[in-house]
Amino acid sequence: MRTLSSGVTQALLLRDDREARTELLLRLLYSKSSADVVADALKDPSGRMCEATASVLSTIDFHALEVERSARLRNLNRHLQRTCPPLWDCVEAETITPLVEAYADSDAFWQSAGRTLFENFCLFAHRTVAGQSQLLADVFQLFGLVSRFSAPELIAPPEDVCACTTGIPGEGMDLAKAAFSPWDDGGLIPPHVPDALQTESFRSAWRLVDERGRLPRSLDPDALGDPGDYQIVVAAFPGRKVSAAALPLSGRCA
Amino acid sequence: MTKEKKDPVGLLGFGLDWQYRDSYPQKMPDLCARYAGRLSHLSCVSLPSAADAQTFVDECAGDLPVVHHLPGVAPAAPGGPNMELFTRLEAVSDVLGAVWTCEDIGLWSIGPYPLPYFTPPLFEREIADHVVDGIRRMQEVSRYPFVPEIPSCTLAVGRMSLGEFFHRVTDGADCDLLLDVAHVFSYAVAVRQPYEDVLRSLPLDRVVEIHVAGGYIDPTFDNRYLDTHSHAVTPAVIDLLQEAVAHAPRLRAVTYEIGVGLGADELDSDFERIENLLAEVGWTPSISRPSGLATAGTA
Repeated sequence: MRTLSSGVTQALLLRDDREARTELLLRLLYSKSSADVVADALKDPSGRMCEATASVLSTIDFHALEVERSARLRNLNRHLQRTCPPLWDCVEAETITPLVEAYADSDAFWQSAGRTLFENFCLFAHRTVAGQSQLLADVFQLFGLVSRFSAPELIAPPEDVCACTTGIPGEGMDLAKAAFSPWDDGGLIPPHVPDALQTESFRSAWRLVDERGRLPRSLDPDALGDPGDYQIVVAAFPGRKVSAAALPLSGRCA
Repeated sequence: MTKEKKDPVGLLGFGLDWQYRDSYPQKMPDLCARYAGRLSHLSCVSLPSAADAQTFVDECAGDLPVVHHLPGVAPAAPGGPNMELFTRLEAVSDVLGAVWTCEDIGLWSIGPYPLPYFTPPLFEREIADHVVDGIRRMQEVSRYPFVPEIPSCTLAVGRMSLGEFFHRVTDGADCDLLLDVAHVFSYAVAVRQPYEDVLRSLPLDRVVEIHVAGGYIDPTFDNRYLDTHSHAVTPAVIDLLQEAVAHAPRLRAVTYEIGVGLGADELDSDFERIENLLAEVGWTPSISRPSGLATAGTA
């Protein structure tokens, strides 16, 4: 799995400004790769980090940092799960948890490609697993698109972190305005869906969505429907309603 | 001569989260009604709009003074406070008739997205000065005093102590301070210092509000205190409360922040514990709804 580029951390270590030191702190809290780069640089800081940053980072208790990072990764996992429980019904936690950990230790975590944190995670997971399992990649794309069009995430703390740190849900995407989509549509043009504000689609060899538009609840072949060639369509409607459908492509032009 | 009959005086208030209004041991309006006459005020976070604030006033606060706890305006964020959010939330403060606004000083976004668990700032002079600039910007546009709150710390990084950092912030911004005694305890646990020493290092003369809440020390790592609000208040935090009340001459309000994991009996027990402590030391709150609001920039 792709981990955080060490170059970003190394560049931050050389910068002598408040923003860089704050960003380093945040990266250390989520990224083991960053923590390793910093710990290594602290052994011989000359030329590898600016003096002020070395002085600040030398106050870190790295054992406590590791404990903190583990706790934050558990909380990130739970936060994503609470945002979209059906994904955890469909894909086993043993598969998702390492992806969440890799996500937190990747450049993708710091780049806002998705509208929500959950969509951003799905984008990362989709791209990461695509080489090993197209089915899994398609499942992450489906859930990511549903999240893209759904209501804003609730920003409430998991149960074992400071309960003061609550917030207000972010603004939802303005569905009446066209927005660049980070998802690969596979060259398919989405069909016209009456009354839909936005529509996205992709090609899949699995049906994924049943006749009633329900999302898959497991990766078992029975739950995924007949294999074939499908255009998976996700549409957003007024009132933040989202629906999904699988259209057979055989006999149709892509 | 007949003895004058006095209305009961509430000694403490509740700290509530609007997102959890249906998840406390009782629904928020029922909970407030149950403690009617024993509450001095309410503090509420996560009110997203003036309409929600009006519902909160109508159903929960009534005539009680209200502190508006802000949700992630974040004067410590690298880019400074979210002034768009802050300005929008002024309408919420208006409906509440807020006595003041407050927020934990920390980083509320990790990467590009808001996350539900923040990070205390680097305890550095340059960050303290940045927070001062942010608070000043907020003060310029708001009709309500902004009171920074000491954050929960499961990890402390930087060359300043918590006390040095908040002396610099409150002196620089010339503002009051919200002292969360559970957060003070979390810092003491994280840096392995006696909690009484940490408390005494803070600018207690600037404290106008104290927060107290339940939590516990991580059983697997003993310098990590989890400020859950959903457990009993730790005896050390009660000690800190007593000490803080005695040494904060401008203290106006004590707020018991409650979480959704508390049972009704636990809540009742800790409410009474705090109430009894305040009664024993003879402390009374002095918090009331502002009679007239200052114009922007003079709060």
